[in-house]
Amino acid sequence: MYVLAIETTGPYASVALIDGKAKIAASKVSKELMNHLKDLMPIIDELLKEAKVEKKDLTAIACSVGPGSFTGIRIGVSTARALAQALDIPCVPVKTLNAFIYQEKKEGLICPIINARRGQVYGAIFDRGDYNCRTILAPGPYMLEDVLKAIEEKAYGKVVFYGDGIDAYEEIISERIPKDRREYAAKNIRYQSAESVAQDAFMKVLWKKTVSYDKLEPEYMRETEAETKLKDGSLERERKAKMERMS
Amino acid sequence: MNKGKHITMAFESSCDETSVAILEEGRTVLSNVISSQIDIHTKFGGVVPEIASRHHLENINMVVDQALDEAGITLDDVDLIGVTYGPGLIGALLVGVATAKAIAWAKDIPIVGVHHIHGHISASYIKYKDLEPPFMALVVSGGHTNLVEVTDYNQCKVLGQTRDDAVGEAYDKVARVIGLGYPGGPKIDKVAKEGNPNAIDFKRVYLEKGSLDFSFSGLKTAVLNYLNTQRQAGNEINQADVAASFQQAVLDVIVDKTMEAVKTFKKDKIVLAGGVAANSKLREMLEERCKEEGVKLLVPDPILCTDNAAMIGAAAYYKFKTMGADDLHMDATANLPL
Repeated sequence: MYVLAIETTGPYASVALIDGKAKIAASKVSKELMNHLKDLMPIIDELLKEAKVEKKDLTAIACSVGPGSFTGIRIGVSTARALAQALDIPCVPVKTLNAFIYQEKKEGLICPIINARRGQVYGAIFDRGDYNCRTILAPGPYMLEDVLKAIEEKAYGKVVFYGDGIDAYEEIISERIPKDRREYAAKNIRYQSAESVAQDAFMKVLWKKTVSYDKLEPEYMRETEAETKLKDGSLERERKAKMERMS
Repeated sequence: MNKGKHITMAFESSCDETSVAILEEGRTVLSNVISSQIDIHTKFGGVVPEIASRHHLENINMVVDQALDEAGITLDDVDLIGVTYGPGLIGALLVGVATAKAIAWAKDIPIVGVHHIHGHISASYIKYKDLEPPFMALVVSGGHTNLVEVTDYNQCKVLGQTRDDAVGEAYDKVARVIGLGYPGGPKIDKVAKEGNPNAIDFKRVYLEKGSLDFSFSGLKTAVLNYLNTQRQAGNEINQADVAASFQQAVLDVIVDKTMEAVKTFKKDKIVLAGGVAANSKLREMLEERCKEEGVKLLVPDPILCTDNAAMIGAAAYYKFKTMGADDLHMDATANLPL
């Protein structure tokens, strides 16, 4: 069996191939930053050629479904869906924050945070054990402040931070969390990676937690600004103000 | 191949329509499924890019299945894939391009990127089976206003374009200020039928002598100024008269410039394309002038004038024939030049 994993929610696009023994057969990362649409299919093509795996040998397509860059999520999900549709194989949805659990093979607390701007992050806190992983803070959109509070109150021990939230908020985190209770993942393992997505997907394929291509859903974790404004009435107010300015 | 015929599958997702079509021999439509988001965007008063992108993703695979079903074929029968790769909303475009590229790779099908305007122009090949370039094309829609000289299936030269608002955009804005709401095109067209097109003399903007470019933003301001003056004077505003007079001012310029282009570049055919081609007054005026001057006017059916994938398929067919396939690095470009 071979599962193709796609990760496009972060700054680099990456793809990986995992075999029936949970071994990463090959993996590739895009050379260019934020050029996922252009790069994704070529690196998938190279990946299979390098691993000498045929398209017909693929068992499932795994995809990191978010949160992260909205555009990135859509490139990954639409590619994964279309591949599964055309090859007639199932999809495996992988929650982007959960994939960080597989980033390093060691026990302990981890806190992946993806920068959602305006003092916010998409974040979670997990406690990796030997055979299981406990969720301390469920994956979701949070104020950074709430994540830090959860660490102070509920996470006992040293926490390893992952994700581009570090790049945005390192100073604030360092001020709040004492040095002996925090660690920032090194740059080479800090960001989303298709290898982790593949490992998460491997377990899901074993447990038959796959879905058909039309059920692979993006997980934006945030409604659009326009919808928020429509609900709270500010869209209407802005429109009125604009009309007044025009007349 | 299906029954010995070449099969093209095409994708269009540049704005708020998700569309997939199947064509036989490049000019016969076997299916042309269009999933429109217009109702969703109406409550926001216009297309919201992020919402459009999300809905494209939600719909596209279903639209693919439906298009194949209606055409009675499977992906194994497809010989060529065409996809709009610009211009348009980038988030919307990329859903179509990513899907098309993935299917092309998975099934080893050649793929070509199609310019959206080139697609609109090619809609005519579907309705008029014997039509061949050269001809003049007027492409008018929510996002585009172009006079294009078509010298070959793959050779287009933009002779004139808008320097500010697209014609559909001008309609939307004016419809908003006179209280008609979104979408402005069909609403103004309808109300204008009840009004007097000569009631208000809005300035016709022709720009420099000989220019085939357009400018509509001044006209929008003129409408606003008119409304303000009337309101301040305490006069009642006749919505139908404003709509009719605005429309007349827009269309006078468009029709004049189109006829000028035909004359200057010695063409005997005009192809009308794009969503605004559905405008009844524009058709009427062009028909009259074409009759006077002995020029043939070609207007595709309304469904082929709106954003749809069949037109992209027709363009892809001819592009592939002469220029071959694009590679998997194909990207979407928001402001792709023609």
